[in-house]
Amino acid sequence: MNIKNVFDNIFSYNKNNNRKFLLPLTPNNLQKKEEKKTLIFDNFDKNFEFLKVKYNLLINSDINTREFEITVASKSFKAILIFVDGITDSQSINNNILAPLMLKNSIKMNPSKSMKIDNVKKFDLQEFLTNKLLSQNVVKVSKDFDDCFQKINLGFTVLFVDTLNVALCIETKKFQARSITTPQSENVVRGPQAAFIENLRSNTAQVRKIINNENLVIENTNVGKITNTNVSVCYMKNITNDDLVSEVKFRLNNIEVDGITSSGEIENLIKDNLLNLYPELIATERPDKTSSLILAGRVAILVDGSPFALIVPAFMLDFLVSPEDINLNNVFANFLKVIRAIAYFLAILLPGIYISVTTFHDEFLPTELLLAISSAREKIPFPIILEIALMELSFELIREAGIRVPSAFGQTIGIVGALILGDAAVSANIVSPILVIIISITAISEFSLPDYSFSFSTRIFRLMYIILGYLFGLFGISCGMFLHLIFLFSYNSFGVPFLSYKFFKNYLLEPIWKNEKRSQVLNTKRPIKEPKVSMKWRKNEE
Amino acid sequence: MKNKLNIFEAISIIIIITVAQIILDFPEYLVDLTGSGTIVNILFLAIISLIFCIIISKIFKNFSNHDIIDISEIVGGNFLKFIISIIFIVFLFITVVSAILNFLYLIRNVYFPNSNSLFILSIFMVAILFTCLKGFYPLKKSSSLFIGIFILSIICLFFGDNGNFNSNNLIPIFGFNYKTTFGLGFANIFIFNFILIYFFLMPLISKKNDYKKILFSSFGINIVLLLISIASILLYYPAPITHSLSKINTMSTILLVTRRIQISSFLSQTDSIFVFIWSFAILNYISFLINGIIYILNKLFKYENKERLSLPVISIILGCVIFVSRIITVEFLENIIFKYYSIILTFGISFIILVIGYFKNKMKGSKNEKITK
Repeated sequence: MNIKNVFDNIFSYNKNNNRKFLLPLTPNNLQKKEEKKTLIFDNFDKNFEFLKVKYNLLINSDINTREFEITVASKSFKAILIFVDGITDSQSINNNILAPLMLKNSIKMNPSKSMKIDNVKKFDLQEFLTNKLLSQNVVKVSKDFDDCFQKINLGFTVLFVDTLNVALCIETKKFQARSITTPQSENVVRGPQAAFIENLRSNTAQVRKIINNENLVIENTNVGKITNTNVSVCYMKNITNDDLVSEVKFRLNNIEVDGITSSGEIENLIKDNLLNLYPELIATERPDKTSSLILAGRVAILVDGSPFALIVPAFMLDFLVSPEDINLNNVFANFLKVIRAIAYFLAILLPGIYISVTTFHDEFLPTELLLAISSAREKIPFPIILEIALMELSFELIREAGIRVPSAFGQTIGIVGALILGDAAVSANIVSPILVIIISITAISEFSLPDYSFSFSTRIFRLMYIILGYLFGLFGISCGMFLHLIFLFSYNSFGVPFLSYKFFKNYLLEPIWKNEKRSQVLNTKRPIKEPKVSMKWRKNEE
Repeated sequence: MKNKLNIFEAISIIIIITVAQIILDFPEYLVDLTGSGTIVNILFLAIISLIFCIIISKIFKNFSNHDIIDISEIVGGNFLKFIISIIFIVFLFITVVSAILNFLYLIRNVYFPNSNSLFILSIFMVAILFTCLKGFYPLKKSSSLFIGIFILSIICLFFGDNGNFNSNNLIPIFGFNYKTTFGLGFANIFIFNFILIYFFLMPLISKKNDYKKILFSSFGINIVLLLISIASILLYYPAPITHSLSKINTMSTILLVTRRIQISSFLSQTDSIFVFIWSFAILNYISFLINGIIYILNKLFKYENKERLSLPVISIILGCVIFVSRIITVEFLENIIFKYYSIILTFGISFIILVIGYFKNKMKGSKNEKITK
C-alpha cells in the first residue's frame, strides 16, 4: 500500500458497492441461476456409463444399482435402479418397485382387460410404468441428470429404462433419525417440550402441525454446490411481507459455497452486518417459538441436518425473550423480562464498573465499603486488571470444559471450579473475595440470558468494558457505551433496524387480550392480529 | 426518510445543545456577568428570544423545504450561499474545538491529573469518529433514547440535596445593578444559541406542521433547564465567588455542585455518576456539531457519500485541539469568540438573511401574480 492509496482511501470518494436492503423497498430482480443441465439419453448404455462416471460407482460403496429387464408385450427393455443404501427403504424397493416390474409384469404378459397392447410402437412405456406398475405413492419424472442426482441423494430410487429419455424418481426414503426430544438449550417449565431434530421433513411437519393453515408456505431450495443441502423457507403467505420473503430467498439462492453442514453456517452467510457481534437471526430449537414468530410475520429457515430453525428478521430485544414468557401471566413474564434486562447489563458492565470505581472513583464508595475492598486487596500481589483477567480466564476455562466433558463429569468440573479456583485462590491471596463475588454475579447474570449465541457477545463486550474501565474509568465506559449504542442503532437485520426505541415500548408483554397488532416495523400484510374484543365470551356476559 | 426527524427526535437534539452547554459550565459565565440577577436576566432575555422565535416560525412557514443556506442562495445566489456556509462551518469548528477542550480539562483535572491529554482525547475522538462514520440515523436515535436521563441529571442538580441551599444567595434579585442585569447582561443572550438550529430544522423534519410545536416546546424546556442550572449554582455558592471557587478546585462550578449532592448516606460523592451520564451527552453534542459541519459541506459540494467526509473533518478538529491546548486559549475561545460569534450569527446574520429572503420571496410572488393577471 503506497502513500497515494492511503491518501485516496482517506480523502477521496470510493463508491460503496455493498447492497443495502430496506424492508419497504422492493428488492432487485432476483437472478435466476443459469445452469447447463445434462439431459437423460434414450440409450440405456449411455445413461449407465454417465451414472458410473458421475457417481463413481466402482468405488462408491453406498450407491447401489440393480440391473434387470422389463418385459412388455414380448419385448424386453433393459432397466436399472439406482439408490443410496442407508437412506432408502429396501422393503419398499423390493415390494413396490422390483416386484411389479419383474414379477407382475411377466405374469400379465398377455394383454389384460384393462390394457390391450396390440402394437408396441403405439404403446407408451412411461405411462404404463407410472400408472400401471409402480405402486409407490410418489413417482416423479425427471428429464435431466442433475435433478436425478438430487433426488437420489434425498432418498429416492431412480429408474432408467432403455428407450426412455426420462427417469422415474420413486420416493423410497427412510432416514434414520433420532426421535423428537425435549429442547436442550431452551428449557421451559410450562409449554411444549418438543424440539426440532436433524430431519428436515420432521421439522417442517412439526411447524405445520402447530400452524394448521393453508397459508403456511414451506418452500424448498438447495444451498451448497456440492452438498446441495435442502433448506426450507417457511412463512405465512397472507401475513409476511413479500419483500422480506423475496430477500430471504434471494440471499439463500446467492450463496456460492461448496457445502453447508449446519444452520450456523447459513446464519453467517446471510447476515447483514459482518462486524456485528450480536446474532442477527434467532436460532431456536423450539417448534412452538418458530411457529409463533412465523405467525408474527417473520420468516423461518430450516436446514436439513440441523435441529435449529433460523428466524429473520431479529431485533436485539428478541434475545432477552424466553419461550416461557407467553405461557405466564403477563405480570410475571414482565417481572422476569426486567430481571433479564438487568442481568444483561450486569453481564457486560459489572466487572468494568468495579475496576473503574476501585481505580478512579473510589470517593464514590462509602467509606466502610471502600475499607472492606482495600483490606481484601491488601495482600493481593497483582494489579486489579490482572486479578480480573485471571478470574475471567478461569471462568471461561471452566465453562468450556463443562461443555466439552461428558455430562457425568460436568458436576465434577463445577466442584473443581468452585472449590479450587474460588476458595483456594482466595485463601492463597491470588484474588480478593469481593472479586469472586463480582465474577460470580456476572456469570449468573450471563447464564440467565435465554439465548445461547447472544450470551457470547456479552463476553466480548465485557472484556472491552473491563479494558475501558481500567484505562479511562467511568468516562471510558461511557464512551464505550455510546459507541456500542451507535453501532447497535446502525445495524439492520433483513431491512429492519436491529435496535429501535419502539422495541423498548414493546419489550414488556401486554395481556394477551390486548395484543391486537403485529409489529409495525415488519410491515406485514395483516397488521391486526385480533379484534378489539378478543374475549367475546366476556362481552356476551355483559 | 430514514434521516428525517420526528417531533421527539428534533426536540431531543435541541435540548442536548443546552444540556451540553450547562455541562460545559456556560451557566458560570452567565453568573459571572450578572451575579444574583442572572435568573431575572435570563427571564428577560428569554422573552426577547421568544419574540424572535415567533418571528422565525412565522417566516419559515413560507420556506417549508428550505434552511438558512438555501435561503441565502435565494437572497444572494451561490456567492452568498458559499459565504454563509463558510461562516457556519467556522462557527461549528470553533464550537467543537472549544467543547472538546473544555470537557477534556474538566475530566482530566478531576480524574486523570497525571495523564497525557492525548491519551484521554484518543478514546473521545475514536468514539466521535465512528459515530460520524455511521451517519446521522444512529445518532438521533441514541440522543432521543437518553434525553430523559440527561434532563433528569440537570434536575437532580437542583433537587439532589436542597438542605445545603442558601436562599440568601439569590438576593439581590436584580444582581449588581439594573444596568448590568438588563444592559451589560444582554451579552448573556449567547446562551440561546440553540435558536440557530431552528434555521436548519425545516428540511430535516418529517412533518412540516410540527415545526412550531418543536420550536416552542424545545424553547420552553431549554429555558427551564437553564434556570434550574443557574439556580443550583446560585443557591449553593454566592455569586461573586463561583468563578474563583472553580479556579481553586480546578473543576467546573457545575461539577462542584454535583459534589455537594448527597443521595443517601451510602452514595455521598456522586459526581462520577454525573460525569458518566454527561460524557454521553457531550459525545452526542459534539457528534451533532460535526454532523452539522458535514451537512453544510455536503450542501455546498454535494458529495454522494457524505459519511466519508467524517475522517478529514475530524482530523482537522483533532489537529486544532492539539494545537490549541492551553486552557487560557480555551477560555478565550469560549468567553469571547464563541460568545459574540454566536450572538452575531444567531440574532444578526441568519435573521437578516431570513427576513430579506422572506421579502424577496414575497416580491417574487406578487410579480408572478401580476404576470398571471
